[in-house]
Amino acid sequence: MPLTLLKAGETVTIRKIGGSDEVRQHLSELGFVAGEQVSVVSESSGNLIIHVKDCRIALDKSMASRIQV
Amino acid sequence: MEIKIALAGNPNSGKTTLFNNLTGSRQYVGNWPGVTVEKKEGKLKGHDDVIIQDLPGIYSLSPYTLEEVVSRTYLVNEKPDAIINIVDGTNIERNLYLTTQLLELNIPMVIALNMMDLVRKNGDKVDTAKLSSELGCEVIELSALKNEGADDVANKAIQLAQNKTIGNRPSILSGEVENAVKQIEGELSGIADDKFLSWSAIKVFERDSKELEKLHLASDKKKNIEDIIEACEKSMDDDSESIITNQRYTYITGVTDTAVKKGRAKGELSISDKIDKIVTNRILGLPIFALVMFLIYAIAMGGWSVSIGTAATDFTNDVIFGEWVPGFFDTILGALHVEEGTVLYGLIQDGIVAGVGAVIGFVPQMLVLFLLLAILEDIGYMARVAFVMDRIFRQFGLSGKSFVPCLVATGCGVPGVMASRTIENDRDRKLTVMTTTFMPCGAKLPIIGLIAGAIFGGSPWIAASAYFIGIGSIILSGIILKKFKAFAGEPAPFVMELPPYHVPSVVGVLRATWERGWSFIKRAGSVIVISSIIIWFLSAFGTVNGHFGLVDNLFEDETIVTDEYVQKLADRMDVEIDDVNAMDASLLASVGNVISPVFKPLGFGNWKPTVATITGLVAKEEVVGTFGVLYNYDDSDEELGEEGEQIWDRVAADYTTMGAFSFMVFNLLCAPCFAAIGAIKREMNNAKWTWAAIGYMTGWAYVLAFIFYNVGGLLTGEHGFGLGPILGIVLLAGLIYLLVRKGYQPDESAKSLTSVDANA
Amino acid sequence: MSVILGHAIVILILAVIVFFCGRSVIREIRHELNGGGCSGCGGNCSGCTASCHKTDPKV
Repeated sequence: MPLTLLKAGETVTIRKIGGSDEVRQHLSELGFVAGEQVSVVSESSGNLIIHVKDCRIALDKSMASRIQV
Repeated sequence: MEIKIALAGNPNSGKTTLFNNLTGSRQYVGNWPGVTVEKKEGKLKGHDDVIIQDLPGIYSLSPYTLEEVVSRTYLVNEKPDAIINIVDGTNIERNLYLTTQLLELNIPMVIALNMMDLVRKNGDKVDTAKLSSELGCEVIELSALKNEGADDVANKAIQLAQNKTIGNRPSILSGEVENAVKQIEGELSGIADDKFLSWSAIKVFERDSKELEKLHLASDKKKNIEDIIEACEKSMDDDSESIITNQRYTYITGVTDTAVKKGRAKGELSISDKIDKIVTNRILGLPIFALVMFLIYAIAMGGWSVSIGTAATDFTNDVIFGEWVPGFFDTILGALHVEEGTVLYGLIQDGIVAGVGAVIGFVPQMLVLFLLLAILEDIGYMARVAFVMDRIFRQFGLSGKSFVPCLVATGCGVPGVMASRTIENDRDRKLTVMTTTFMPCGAKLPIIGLIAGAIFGGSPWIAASAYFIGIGSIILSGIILKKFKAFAGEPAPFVMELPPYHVPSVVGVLRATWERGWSFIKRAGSVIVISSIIIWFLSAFGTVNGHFGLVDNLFEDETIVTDEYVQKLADRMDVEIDDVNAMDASLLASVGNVISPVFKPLGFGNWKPTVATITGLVAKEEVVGTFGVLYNYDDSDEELGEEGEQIWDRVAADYTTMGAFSFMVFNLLCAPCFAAIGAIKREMNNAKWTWAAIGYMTGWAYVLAFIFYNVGGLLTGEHGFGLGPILGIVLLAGLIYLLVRKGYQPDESAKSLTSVDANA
Repeated sequence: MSVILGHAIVILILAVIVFFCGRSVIREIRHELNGGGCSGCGGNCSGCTASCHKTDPKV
């Protein structure tokens, strides 16, 4: 399921990243790759703040929905 | 022999602090040729022959953003003698992603492991020796904030540069991928630069567009390489870019497993996380933000006991410029035999003191405002604000990143415009640059204060309305403009790193506040002194019924000032006979009168506000400075220079309620001061767009002021139902139409023009 | 001291002030219009950091 469906406090492992090459590359540079464990710090209508590789990244719905966990 | 050292690292890794530490004040700032990415270089302290080139903060050397392209082009073309890779110690894994790419460039490199103080505080342990040996290059600990280690890093870099030491670069790729890339290296040998052969091969494997563009491969080579890549992709069941990315991360994990021990378990929340949970909460986020903004303005400009800003301003106006300064000058001038009533006395007291005093009075309020905004920026809240506002802004077709410039602009428009650099989408960025200065900045506060005080009894609603009109103009402009082809398109998805909160550094905040405050005072000191003098002169001299001279003196002569003349003057200047005074016959009045018809439809077609508005171009606070001089005519024996009831009464007499309000609206929204125009010019990098921005803002200001005056006047009963109000309603209808119409629907290709493509 | 001398002194001081102020104003306006304006920077902004401190912006 996409990351957007998670609630605050949950920790999951990324299975796959969808979307265009550019988007995927951008996300992977920030640490979003398959196999990576991430946790949700805060969530509001699909916009998320995620803990990934020791840092906080804020993602809007459209980006977060490309991340399958 | 000159040594060139490049400074590379992630955004938020402390690069800028390190750069400042290394170069002190010997820095040069410009732009990378042809693009709006800032280029910073400086001389290393104590070494005249060492240049440090600061590269933009980047996460990797992909070809997707301007910053990345600029950086890799520099590294590959300029071939610096050494690289200092600054790595955020609290975030090693992600930071090493860039490191692996830099290592491939085969340039001598030293890693500066920054934020070690935070690392220790978190309970993490980093074995720098192990890290060094795994990565094949030296790792030096650094705490840039505390200025520890910077010299070691610099010296090491110089040493590496001089000895050209590359060390044992590890092989990051393994297995099939490594083979495939080696094969590509074979294909490329002779074509690509030898030094960068492995880097080139990896990029080609990833089908990197910029690298391929550069190499101009023959079609048979292209086919061979493509075959190699496809074979690998098939066998690993993944696309080439992802393959390399995964390889990098696998390698990094291997390194960190050996060398890094985390103090906190994964998934555990840090303090920053806990704060973020509340602050960006779906329900609480916005109200918290509104509360924070309200507090800031209450403390700086409100009328309550906690409003230290207002208290200080009142003191400055009433005491310093109400008594001390005029009194002081009175004494000195008296001692030098310059008596009241002479030209010189008038120039100094009624011109300079009045003009400058009117503006300086606001300095305390602005300092408090700047201080609070600086604290907000320093603790890191601004990034969260962008996130919270993104949800709303997206409804209007913009991203939350367009909001931060607006927030910053409430202090000063110049950094506000520059804050638009974080917006990736080129169209949105231009849009933001064009509308950011609608926000009332510190210099516009005096205008609000003047109108609110003189016409509306100091009501706080006026200040509130100024901000609403400002933000409203930005949002409405965004909606309207996005319906046009030039701006249409989805905003870039919101992706933003939120650095951890940190306690504001007292020094940093005070310095930021002082810098902004000081430039305001400097402006008051120079620009306003000059304009006050000029304006005073032009308003003190004129032709009264054929006689040229000091209008004040001439007006005392009844033989010159006949009833007939007064009538003519009243008609020409469009004032009531009883309100005619000496200044109306001045040179300035005549000049202002030529332009004032432009503003008649807006309700302030008098020469005084016309002149004030024009002086506002130089600096917005000058509007009030001008008022200070022009409304300071001495028809009583009271003290001068007061921003109190005297001037306010006279100002009030000149305007209707809606006229005054429309004057305020026009000045708040129209073209910004020269400094802001300069910033816009720099960001747009294009004369056409700069003029478009200025034209748009002035046009919008005019239309809005027109509507307020005419339609508003209709509603308040000031006007009857005449041509003005009809036009006003038509304009209003026009605006509504522009807001709700369907607008240009872009096709997929135009969906998001990135800055890279826009500059290609 | 006579009235004329007093006037003269004040005028002289004013002239000096005007000269220096005027010069700095013109320089600053030209500088700002060319995009070097960092009048409200404050050292924290994402773009402008370095040029706020006594440097010559060399492009």
